Amino acid sequence: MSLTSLERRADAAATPVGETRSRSTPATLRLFSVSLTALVVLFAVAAILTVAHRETQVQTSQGLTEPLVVDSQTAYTALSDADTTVAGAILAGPIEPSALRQRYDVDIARASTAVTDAIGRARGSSVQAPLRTLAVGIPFYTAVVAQAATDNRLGYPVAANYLGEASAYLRTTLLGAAQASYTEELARLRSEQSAATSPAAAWLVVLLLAATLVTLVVVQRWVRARFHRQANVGLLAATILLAVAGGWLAVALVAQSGAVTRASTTGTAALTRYTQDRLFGLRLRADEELTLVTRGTVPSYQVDLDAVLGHLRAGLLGGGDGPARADLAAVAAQHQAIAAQTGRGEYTAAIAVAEGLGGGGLPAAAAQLDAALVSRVDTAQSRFEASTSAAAMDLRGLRWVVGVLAGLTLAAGLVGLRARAQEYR
Amino acid sequence: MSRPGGRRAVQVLLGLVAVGMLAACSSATSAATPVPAPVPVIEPAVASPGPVSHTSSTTCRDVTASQPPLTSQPAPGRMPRGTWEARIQQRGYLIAGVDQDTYLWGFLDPSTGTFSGMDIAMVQGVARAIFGSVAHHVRYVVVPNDQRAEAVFTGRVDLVAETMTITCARKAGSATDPYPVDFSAVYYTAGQSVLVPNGSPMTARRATWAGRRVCAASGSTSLARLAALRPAVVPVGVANESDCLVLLQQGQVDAISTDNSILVGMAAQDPTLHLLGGTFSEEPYGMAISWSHRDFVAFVNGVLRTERSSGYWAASCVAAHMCAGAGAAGSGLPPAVEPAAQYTGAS
Repeated sequence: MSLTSLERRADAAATPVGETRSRSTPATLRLFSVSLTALVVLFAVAAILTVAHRETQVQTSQGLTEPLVVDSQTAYTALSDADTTVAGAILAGPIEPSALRQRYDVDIARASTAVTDAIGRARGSSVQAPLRTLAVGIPFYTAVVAQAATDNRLGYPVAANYLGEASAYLRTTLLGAAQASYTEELARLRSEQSAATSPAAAWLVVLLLAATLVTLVVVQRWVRARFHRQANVGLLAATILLAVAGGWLAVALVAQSGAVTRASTTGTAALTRYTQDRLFGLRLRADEELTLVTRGTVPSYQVDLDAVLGHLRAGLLGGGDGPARADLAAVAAQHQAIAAQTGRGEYTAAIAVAEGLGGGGLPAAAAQLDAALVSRVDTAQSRFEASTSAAAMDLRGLRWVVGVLAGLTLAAGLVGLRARAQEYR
Repeated sequence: MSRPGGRRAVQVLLGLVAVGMLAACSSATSAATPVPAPVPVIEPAVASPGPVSHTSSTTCRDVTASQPPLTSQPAPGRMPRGTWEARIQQRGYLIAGVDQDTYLWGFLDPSTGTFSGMDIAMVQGVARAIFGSVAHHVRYVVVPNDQRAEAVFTGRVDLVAETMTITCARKAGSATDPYPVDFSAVYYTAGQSVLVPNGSPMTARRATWAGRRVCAASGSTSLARLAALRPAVVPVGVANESDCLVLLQQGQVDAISTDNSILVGMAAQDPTLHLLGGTFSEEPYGMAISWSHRDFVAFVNGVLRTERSSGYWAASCVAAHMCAGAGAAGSGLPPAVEPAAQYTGAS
């Protein structure tokens, strides 16, 4: 075997290696560049879309759905209060007490304003139908009440019939519509809250982040092995930038999810429960007064009252609310006193208790229960608002942070790979 | 009505204007605008609510004959031992089942907070005869019309005075009247008539009633008679007779038909309504009392007899606007003469 042949063989052996290095390494580098670009872009898009989606849900529940829930709830409570107030005013005699008249006027004004506000907000939403029922129905209700008041002044017993008609219309049609709008908006709020904490999209982001990081690590190992360099600054920077972006995103999303969950559990759930209890409280008083106005001849009011009292007891006992329970016991005691008096036919005495003539009585006890529930409703509402604002703050600017960091990651990574690729030019 | 502050009033006005505009707008553009429908939602009572019990029944010879009173009534506060009126005296008050929404008969006068009307006057006459005075001696229990006999039968009340017609079925009991009760002598005779708005095409001529919607209480004999009328009217039944006035004022029915005595009370609450002349039934009113208190029935009949001579009945009837007082001829009301009492003979 001659030297030349050896040399030639060595050349033959060397040349393919050299050719492989010079031809397939740039191809691998190109493949890495394309994969890295695709992964970083996919991660950035997924992350930004997830954040944007959550931001929209939080902002909608904060700026639209929650105000609509509050509007429906305001209309509901104001109308329930009107029901109670009108019955009380007519029960009081031919001259309505001016305080009750004023309270009724305020109730109707609050309900009407809430409905108009809600209609303005709910443009195009399916909740329009019940709101329209309210808008058309409230003037009808007030007209029937006005007729009852006029007949009552004249001492005509048909006043009680008009009062019964007004109350039945309010309870079936108006409160039914308010309830429908309230329930619908509350369901929307809940679905927004669950969409804003949904982990499905977040998992995709985590997966893409992990894939990108793994790719970066693999590329760096390959580059180190191939080029015998200790570190590629560009790729290292890209890895660090991506880790920062991922960490930032994770912290923000976890914080935001926590805030929305807090808004849901300490806010929405409590708000729903105490609002319901409050409505039951108002309805209990209206039932009591209508029972007295009709002198017990319409048994459905008494049946409804017992059912409402049962709901209240179950609701407040379930929540373990000591003070509100004591207030409810006081209301129940007044009701027992009235029932005992009406059972003996002592209507004048029963009305005195129901109207709180001479202080105390049912109105004082009911007002105390209502105040206890209102403070809980207010607390729940401010908790909701605070937590939802916190969630919105957690997401504020997150899209830009993720976008910019992803861009920098990509730039650093490509610069790092390009430096190697240039060795073959 | 006081104004809740200038700023709020403006907000209210704006709110109301906006609602009104929206309603007007939507009614022009959308067929689905909800039109307020008053409740109770009423359904025409197409089927006859059962036979007219007291006209078809023949179980009693003379329906209005009641226990004859004692020849001399006991003095107030001195009820004979062992009688039901003695028990009432001992108890300290009479328990009376009454209406609270039948104007001029049994109703709560909102200006005084007390019960008033012709039925109430009858109850008070009985209380005065037992106790010598009325104050604190009557306990009123409002009894719905469909529970009147039951309240008497079960002893919840001593008597019922609620424009209650004496019928054989009510006295003997029947499938529709499961609680037989006794009655006092007749204290007023009414008859079914029709109340219409002024300007109504309906007149006393029956032909003008054809196809009209006429309101009466569900399950009442008034409604059954309406269903039997020819040419046919559309009977509309409601749970509470007084709801008929609401329906008439809202234009949901064309007329109300029940006892003229009750219609007079409805007409008194609305000057734009009037009764059509003539009646098509006879409704003798009596106070319902338990069959087990026959001594008390005799006592009450004695009270009614005394009220004729004392003028209490006539004064009460005029005060309740159910009888024409002196110089009120042509009012369409019957003269202030107590119906002649009929008693079950010793024979």
